[in-house]
Amino acid sequence: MTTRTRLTLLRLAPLVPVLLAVQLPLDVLSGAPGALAELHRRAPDVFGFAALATLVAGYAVTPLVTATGARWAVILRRDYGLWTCGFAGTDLLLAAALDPAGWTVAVAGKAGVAAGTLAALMLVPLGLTSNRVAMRVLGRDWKRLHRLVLPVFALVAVHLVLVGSEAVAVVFVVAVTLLRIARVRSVARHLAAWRRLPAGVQR
Amino acid sequence: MISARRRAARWVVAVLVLLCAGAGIAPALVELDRQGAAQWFSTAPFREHRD
Repeated sequence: MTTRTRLTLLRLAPLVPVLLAVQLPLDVLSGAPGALAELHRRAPDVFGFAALATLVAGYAVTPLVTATGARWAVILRRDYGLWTCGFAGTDLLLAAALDPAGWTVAVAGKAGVAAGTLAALMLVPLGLTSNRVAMRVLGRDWKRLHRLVLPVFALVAVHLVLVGSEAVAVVFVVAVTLLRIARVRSVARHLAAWRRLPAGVQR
Repeated sequence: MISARRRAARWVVAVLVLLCAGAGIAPALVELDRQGAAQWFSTAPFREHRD
């Protein structure tokens, strides 16, 4: 498989969970009985999971590129970030539009739900500035702005603990912590040096 | 010395961040006020449903 094909597949991979659930909106469009309620019930699982997976995958790109030298994969960082934004936004909009109890209950009816909503909304400025123009105009501030992803991680962890599964929350926190450590400059330098060692040398 | 364009961009982004944070916090405060802290911070029905 060529690098180009591999990259294309990786860029499109986030579509998989959505394609698996494509029947839900199709049922709504065809007016199937109970389709809206089913979409409302299953949307958080589909889009929530997709948002979570792309969020972690996007954060993993930099350490993986450092460790493997696969510079071609850097574009995935922005791609997955935008996918996260799209999934989280869709999840939020569907919840707000379909909840029979009203939109405020849907987006903030419980502390855990409100944490997820705030995390999704904090992704908006990150998504809107994930382009070269914003990077150029904001300069050094761009990096500072994109550190907002750390409070987003904390909010997602709270969301998972309060409304999701505790096991997923633990895996999420451990994964994000390890990835954060791998991004620390001295650790990243070690990772890069380890990669450059010639074959056969004890690592 | 930062350029006027960059200063304007900083303001736009800061306003955007505040708007997004406000859009998340405002309904949360409404619900917290309506339900009370004990009810709002409870994990029901999610935990009960999933565990």
